[in-house]
Amino acid sequence: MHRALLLLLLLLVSCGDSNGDGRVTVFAASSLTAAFRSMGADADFSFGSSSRLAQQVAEGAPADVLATADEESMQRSGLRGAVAFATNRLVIAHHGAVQSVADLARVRVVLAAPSVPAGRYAAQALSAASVTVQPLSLEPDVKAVAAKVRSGEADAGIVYATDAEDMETIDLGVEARYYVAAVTEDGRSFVDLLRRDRGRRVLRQHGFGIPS
Amino acid sequence: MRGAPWPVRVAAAVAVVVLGVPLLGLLARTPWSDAWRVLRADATLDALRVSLLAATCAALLSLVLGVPLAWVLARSRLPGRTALRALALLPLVLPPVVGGVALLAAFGRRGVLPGFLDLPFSFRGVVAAELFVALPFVVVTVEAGLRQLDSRYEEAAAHLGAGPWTVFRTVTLPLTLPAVGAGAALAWARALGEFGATVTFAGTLPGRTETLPSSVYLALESEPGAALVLSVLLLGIAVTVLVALRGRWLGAWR
Repeated sequence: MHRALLLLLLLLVSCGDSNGDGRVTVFAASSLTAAFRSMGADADFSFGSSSRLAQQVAEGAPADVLATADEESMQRSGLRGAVAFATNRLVIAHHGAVQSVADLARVRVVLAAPSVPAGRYAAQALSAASVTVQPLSLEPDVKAVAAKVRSGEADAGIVYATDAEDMETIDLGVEARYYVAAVTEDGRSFVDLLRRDRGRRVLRQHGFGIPS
Repeated sequence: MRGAPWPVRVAAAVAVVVLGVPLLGLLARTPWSDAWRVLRADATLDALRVSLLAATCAALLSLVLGVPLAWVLARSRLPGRTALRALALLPLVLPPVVGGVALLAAFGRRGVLPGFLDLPFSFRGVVAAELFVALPFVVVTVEAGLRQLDSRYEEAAAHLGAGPWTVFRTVTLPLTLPAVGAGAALAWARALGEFGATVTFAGTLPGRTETLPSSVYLALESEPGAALVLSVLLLGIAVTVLVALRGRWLGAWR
């Protein structure tokens, strides 16, 4: 009986996290997943919607770096000294049913919610083209939009070009600007990496542009 | 508490803390001055309407489908009842998002039955997803209730000449009403709180498929204060349901 209790205790102790192993923690927009993982940095990544991550950083989440897909999310985090480090194009991802932006008004469309950068960029693109769309859903994450188009549930969706490399796309003429800021001193090395030649090369390889 | 050894008392106290502290934190951090504005907002009322309607539909369907299944499990001598019961309980242990993925695989455009009732991205889809997760509650509660029944009442009625449907309607159902009521209430509460399956299967569109839990998730990104207020709203509904049940459902489980 005592051995069983001891074993239980040991198992419980291992339920905790192992923190502080010296790795840098990077919070980044989900569209940066492939590019950041290829940076060769010794870091722990948490990918998600920029607005959610910025909110978490503002509430004191243990991130060393925050990278967002637009300026508004970065401002929400309250961090100073953010710099633009990459650009992306907004596109309509589809399976052939769409020839122009105007077609979005008559097919099954999924967009990102206006509370996330991709949703804001989509609204910008649609209003610039004077097209009104009745979306089937306003997803909490741009990857969810891409997934719904990819699976065929939706005919089209507005996502980042880097998320739609396996689908047909139409460029919307809207550029997304990505910002990065170091939350702690430890994060500076990762921020510097992104802005050096090697980091820029990796970003370009994954379909991102570099702001001038 | 006399007689309980101290390790038991300590562990029980820790259990209370684990359950209570998050709820207290929620109540403490809610911006109460902002609460009325959030509760009155169109977006909130839309989500509340979608949630209440969908949960009620799902609970009703759960009753219509769950009570007969519970009867089969409790009373019939069908072979394979054990497997059937496992199937009925599966959604209880399945992660909700897996339920959503399964529903898409079944009824999505590339699913096994594409176009059936046109479920994805619709209010019907929300009801379908909630039905999937809530049905087991009715089955479990009603089956337990039926097993507890003294079958002599039904035997007497049959002996006096009542047909099976009459026996079910006039003897069985009234006697199991507490279990049915508890099952319905639990199914309703579970349906109301469902998030993973509805977001995956039906999406989130304000006024049509965005439920209160979805609103909370979305609000976390832009208006964390609103997320807290909506969370308290859901908490209030949950507490009301539990108080209305007043521990009666525990009896049906025994």
